[in-house]
Amino acid sequence: MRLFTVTAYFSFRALFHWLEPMPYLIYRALFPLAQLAFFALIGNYGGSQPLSFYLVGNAIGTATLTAFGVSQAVADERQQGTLSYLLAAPAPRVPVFFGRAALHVADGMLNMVAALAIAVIVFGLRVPVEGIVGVICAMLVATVAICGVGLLLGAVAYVVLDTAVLANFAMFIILLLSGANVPLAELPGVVAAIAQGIPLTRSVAAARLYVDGGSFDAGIGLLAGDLALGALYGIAGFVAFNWLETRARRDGRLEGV
Amino acid sequence: MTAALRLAAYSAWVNFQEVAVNGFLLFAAVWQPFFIGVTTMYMLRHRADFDPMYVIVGTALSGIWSTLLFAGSGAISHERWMGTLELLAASPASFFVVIGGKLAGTTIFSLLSLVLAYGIGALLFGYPIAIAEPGWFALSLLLAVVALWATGMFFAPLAILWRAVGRFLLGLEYPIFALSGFLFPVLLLPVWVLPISNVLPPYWAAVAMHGAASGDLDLTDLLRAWFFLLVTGGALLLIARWLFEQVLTRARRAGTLALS
Repeated sequence: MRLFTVTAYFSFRALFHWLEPMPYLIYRALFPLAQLAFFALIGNYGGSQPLSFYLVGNAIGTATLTAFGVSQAVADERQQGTLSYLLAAPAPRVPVFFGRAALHVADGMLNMVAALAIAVIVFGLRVPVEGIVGVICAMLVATVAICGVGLLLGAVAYVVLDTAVLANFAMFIILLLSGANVPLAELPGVVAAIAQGIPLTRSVAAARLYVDGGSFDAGIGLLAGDLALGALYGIAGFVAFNWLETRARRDGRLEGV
Repeated sequence: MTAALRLAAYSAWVNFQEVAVNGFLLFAAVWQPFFIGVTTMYMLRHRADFDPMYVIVGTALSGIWSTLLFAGSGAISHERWMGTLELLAASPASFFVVIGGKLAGTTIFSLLSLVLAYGIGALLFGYPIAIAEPGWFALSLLLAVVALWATGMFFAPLAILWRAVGRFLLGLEYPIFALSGFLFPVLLLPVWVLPISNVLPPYWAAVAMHGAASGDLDLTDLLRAWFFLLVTGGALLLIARWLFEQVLTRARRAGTLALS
């Protein structure tokens, strides 16, 4: 537990030069809010769906930005020159690996709360009182699920090398396929099927359900699905990380890890 | 003049080769516009007055802007990381021309966005694509590219003179997409925002290119957009020129190029 907490704290603190408030505000406030406004206004201009469709979709969609931090928290060990220490340490790998995502869950939630606040205050999104708990749960599940994706991307980045590009790919694929901006029914059959494997599709649908006044129970299945999918991505990341570590030990080198 | 052009051309060519294999800038010029283009095509195609060329132009501008924003704000800082900034600053060749050529290479590279955006509309969605005024469109594109290059030149010294400003610049991707009306009319924005749009070269680039592509603007309106493209771009270039001098002056005074 101590290792998990220490890993969570330091890997978060060391990231993005967040010891200064300005970079933090830019990465974590300006960028997601601008992204929300941009896609919501395009949707409003297109007019095929009500504005609330895009506001809710993109407020939940800001969770995708969490993938950047988590994947970098895993993959930057090599860039920072600390990977060899990490691999040589006798520390159990589960808390070391999964701890990297812990604070990003809280940070991603702050992101989405800010995005949702803008959607309510600036764009006039109405969230019924009985739907607030459901929307918060959808936001939490979306963030946790995206952290799973981030962990997988971080592990993959040891082979592909470019975390930022990988995370950007993930973000745009999710924004296109999760139903945040385009109704799934409009996508071609194969693509819509792939969308079911995207760990935000159900959170977006659940959040819309709650904003439209649906009961909490109605969305639980959707949220459980995304949570399971996020866990699957996270475990896949852990397996990939372990496999790369084993290969590194066998080959006696960190390159390609 | 000839020597300066030759220097700029060399710098552009070297930089073009570098950015062509840079994963991040490739993403900004190719993949990001691809995803934005496809997403936007789906979002706007139900409009009664839908014109795929509108999405193509907006998508291309988003790609050009993103590429120049990231390349421009890192143009000088990148030299510092590579250990070549001191050599450039000490060289008798004009620092302004070298960086200008470098960003010209990036600008040419960013035009991939336009080709890609056309491919999305014509091949992926199968729309018949027609430009209402091809000649005016070509001229609008040329002026837009020059004005956006000038904007990149303005960003380059800013990012090295003030580190906080450099970081702030990186957050300007989506705000400029929105303020410039790349993919929706700026009239959807609050009225108080419109004066900001009016001083941005990307806004006038979007007005000119959308107008020439759709044929919605007559020559008088196009001339107005071109005029403001040149004025806003030219103003930024003049300020950039002064900022470049500030970089060198401060470096000489401080005896270091680690200015921020």
